[in-house]
Amino acid sequence: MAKKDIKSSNTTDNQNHSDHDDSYLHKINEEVYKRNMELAVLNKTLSLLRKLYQISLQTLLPSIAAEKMVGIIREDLNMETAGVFIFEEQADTLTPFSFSKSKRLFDTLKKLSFKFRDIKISNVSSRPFLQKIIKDKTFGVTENLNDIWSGLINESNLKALKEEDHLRTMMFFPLVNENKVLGILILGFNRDYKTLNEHEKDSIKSCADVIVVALDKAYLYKNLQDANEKLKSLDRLKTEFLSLASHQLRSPLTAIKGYTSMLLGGDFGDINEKQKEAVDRVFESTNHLVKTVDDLLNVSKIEQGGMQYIMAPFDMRKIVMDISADLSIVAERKGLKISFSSDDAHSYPVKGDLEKIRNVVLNLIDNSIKYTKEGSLALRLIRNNELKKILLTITDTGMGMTEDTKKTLFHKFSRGEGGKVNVGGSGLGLYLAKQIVDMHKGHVWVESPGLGKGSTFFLELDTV
Amino acid sequence: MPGKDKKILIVDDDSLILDMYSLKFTNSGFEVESALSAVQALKKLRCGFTPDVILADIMMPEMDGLEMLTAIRKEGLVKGALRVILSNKGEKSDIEQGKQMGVSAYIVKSNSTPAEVVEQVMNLLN
Repeated sequence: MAKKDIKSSNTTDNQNHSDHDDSYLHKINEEVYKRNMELAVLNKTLSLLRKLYQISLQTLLPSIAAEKMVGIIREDLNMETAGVFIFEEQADTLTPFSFSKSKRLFDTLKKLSFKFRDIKISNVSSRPFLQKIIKDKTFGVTENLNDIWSGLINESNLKALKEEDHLRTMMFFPLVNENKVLGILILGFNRDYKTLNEHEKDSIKSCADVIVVALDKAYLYKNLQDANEKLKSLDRLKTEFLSLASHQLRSPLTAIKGYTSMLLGGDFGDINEKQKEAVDRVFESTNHLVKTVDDLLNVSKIEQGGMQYIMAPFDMRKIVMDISADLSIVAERKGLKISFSSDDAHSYPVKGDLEKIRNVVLNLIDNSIKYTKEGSLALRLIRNNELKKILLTITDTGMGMTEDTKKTLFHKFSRGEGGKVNVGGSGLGLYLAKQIVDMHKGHVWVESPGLGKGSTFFLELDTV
Repeated sequence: MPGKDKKILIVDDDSLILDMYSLKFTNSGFEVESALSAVQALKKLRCGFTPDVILADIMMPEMDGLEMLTAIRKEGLVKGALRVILSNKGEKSDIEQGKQMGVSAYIVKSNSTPAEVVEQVMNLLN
């Protein structure tokens, strides 16, 4: 009996142990299940956030970024709808920006003939529920659709949405950046709010945070783009104005230049030396102005992309010799001597726009004459058969330049050392020369040992 | 007088410029007829004026210089006359268009003095 009792007692003990173990195991299983569920939610959240970050990185337009994001949030979180309102503080308005709907909600809305995205919520401050979200920048949840759309969507439609059990709960997350409400993320689903666990709530909150960053970045990009477009448009207007003004300037300049040349030529009778000297100055100034207007027109053409180039082979040697002969008269007036030399007397063929290259050479030589008070200019043509290049060098004994001047000499409106001394010029000649040479895939540059030590200009073009 | 016995029709809507070229060509021995518009110029030609040279601006109201040259050719008004464009529109495309219309020369006004214009016309006549 005692033995039996002992046995019985052992059995009871074992039974008790077994019950205890079962309950313990059950608890562990429950805990494991719970943890697994949490893990699943976290994994899902992580995957969703990854997708949202991808969109944020790849999409720069705010509307497209928002559309993609609300689509993914709705699908991944099993919502009936997900949407973004943009808050316009001045107008006190929430403007629908992007909405995504489930198939059944879409069908219901179609039946009811309205779209959320068509309904702008004005006078936000007069709607306590929304006002609280924006003012306090806090999350809001409601099961009453009237809290949001009363007076905007008729009662029967709101009732229908409720009755068909699509939108039992609506959640609202303010999209806040730097303490400013950019908008609201809304999520609608067919469950009670209390059925959401903390992890799901956190997951939704994280989504709202990512949307803020993405929208802020997209708006920043859009603002930059808008500003860029505005600048481009202003630049176009400036160029058009410049072109028009230049054309308008040419007519009176033609008259001034024409009449003064006729006065000098005796078409209006004889004038004395003093008068001639004065008229001559008017004539020279007008010529300078004509050249400036031409330069401005060419700059506007280049900047509008309207400069036309007619490419054909020509002899560079002939061009340089002709210009050298023409400008010798100007140089001699200043007491300067121009010399020209080349490797040989054969032709130096170059393919390019003859008139434009002629202007480049003219500008370079004219520039050297302007900045040389005394001494000479040596022009030299060098042929490099190996590299198939032709190089023109223009060495003057002029005022030279500093290293800083060299860096900006070919920039628009750069006057080099001319800005400090009394040398006329628009500051466009060398800029235009560089633009034209660049178009020919050539090179133009300057070297100078320093101020007062002269300069050498180089023009290198491909030979044919 | 280089332009002796030569007749020229100058067309420009800017009276200041028109007077200037008229005087220069007159001083160079030309018989000059001037017109302030293409319509006026066509009238003179239809009335029987037969110039050796027609010097025309392009940008003019009502009818531009190129349209005027087209009308002259269509009507066969002065078949042997040299046609020269004298304009401040100096774009390559303008010059090409002028060439296609068979003009003998295209001179950019602001780049030449009246004496140089006369010289170019004389070179063409010779």
